[in-house]
Amino acid sequence: MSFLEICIALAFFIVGLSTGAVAWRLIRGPSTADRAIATDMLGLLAICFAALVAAATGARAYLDIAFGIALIGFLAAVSFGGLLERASASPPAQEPGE
Amino acid sequence: MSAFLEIWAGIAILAGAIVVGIAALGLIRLRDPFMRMHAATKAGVVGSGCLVYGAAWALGGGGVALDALIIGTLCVVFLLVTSPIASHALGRAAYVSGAPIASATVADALRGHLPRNLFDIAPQRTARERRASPSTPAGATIMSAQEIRAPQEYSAPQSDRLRVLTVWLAGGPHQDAASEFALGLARAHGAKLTALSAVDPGFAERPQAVPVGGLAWSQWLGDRLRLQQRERAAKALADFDARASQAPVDAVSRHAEGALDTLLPLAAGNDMLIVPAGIDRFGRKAADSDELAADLSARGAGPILRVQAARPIRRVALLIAGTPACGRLATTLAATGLWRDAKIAVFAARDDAQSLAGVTAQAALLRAHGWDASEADPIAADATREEIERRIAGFDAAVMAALAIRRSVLDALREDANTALAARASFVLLP
Repeated sequence: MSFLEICIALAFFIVGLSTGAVAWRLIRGPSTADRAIATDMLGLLAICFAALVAAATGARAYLDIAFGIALIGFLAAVSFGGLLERASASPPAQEPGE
Repeated sequence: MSAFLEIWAGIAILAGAIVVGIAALGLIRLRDPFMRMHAATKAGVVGSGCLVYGAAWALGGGGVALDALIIGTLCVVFLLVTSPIASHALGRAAYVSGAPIASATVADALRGHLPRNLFDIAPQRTARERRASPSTPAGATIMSAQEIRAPQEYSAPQSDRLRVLTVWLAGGPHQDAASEFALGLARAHGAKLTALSAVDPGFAERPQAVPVGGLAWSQWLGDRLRLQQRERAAKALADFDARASQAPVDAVSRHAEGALDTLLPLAAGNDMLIVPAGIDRFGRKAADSDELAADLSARGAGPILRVQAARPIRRVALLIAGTPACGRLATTLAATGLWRDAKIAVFAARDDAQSLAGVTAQAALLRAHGWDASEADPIAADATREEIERRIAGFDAAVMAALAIRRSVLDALREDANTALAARASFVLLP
């Protein structure tokens, strides 16, 4: 097992643990903003995984996947942000009985 | 060469993974969404960047794979470009939606700038009260305007003099009187009223000479002062909004920040600027020539009404003190059309021929416009404080060119008629 392979295995381990941590934050919250931030971080982790798979298997296409996620991943965060802002500023929905 | 490249790629991959791990740890351990966002985006970008770059080197299989390196570089560049956008949008949304701020945060620089809605922990469980109307403006960060109400039923103007009014929300002890008076005046004249809560952060930005702690301490001090300014502005704005929502007035409120010269265009095109007394442009307590009203008048911001107390006006002093602007006093009063029922006494603070001629001419002009104006004896230049006090007693309002006349250093020691009037009159109209 070469040095590079050991590094890649360790990196897989660390990034896997990180994914667990981010997932915990995503489920736990407590605020909607926390969940949006965790979702954004999941995108970054997806880039890491794609790059690691590319390095481990030598399949160059996975690097293109990482590139694609980096290119459009921020759109999700921006739209989450816009949604959060508008949802919190809108007046409360009327109760049916009123 | 190939062994070196492999080690290089391995180190980059491992370093990236470690940074990503630290970011994930921060996401768990940090205490509020803003800190978590800081950990997630900054460390996350460095981590994934390193990792992608390492993978691109490793893909060469002992050599250098140029296409993989190009893709990897592009990937890192795009991460660096897009991640700030994402984190900014998320941070702003977190602030507006009312995410909690941990107690470790020293200063909230956005207070008074962006609205804070109620924080929703579990929307399905908590019944939340929300503000009836969001107090800040869509899409605006620094400068914003919001229509409060524009009632249709109130459209008959009773005077054609004042059509556009601006009230300066500077805070301070006389702000309530100024807001109240401005709303009453706008209602009586059917005028369009703009409330401008303008903050000049100038003095806070200047590094101050603080003996212990140096720059960090002075920065903290500046932050605090700016925070206080914004809090005052937000409070005055909220007070005004509450008042305006109860009065049938076409009112608009807005918040702006910047140096006074850049704020002036916002108040341009109005018929009169209503300013509370006793406060300077930084929102601090100030006296006569340092006041906001004097500052604005010196910059030619048009007729300025300095309000100290909203009282009915019976006697008005029009004081000619020998400065160039004194020639415009009567025309200023005539342009605003204020105090038609009051008795106007026109007099000079000097007894030279030029001032006396000015008194005669301005009294005649006011009489021609229908005011009850009369000429009074001049106050001698060497009058004592008691004599001045006796002469100005009983005036509720004043029209004069300056809040204080300082011709020499010695003048600062004695009170002139302008200073005495500025201290006592409920209203002072400045040209």
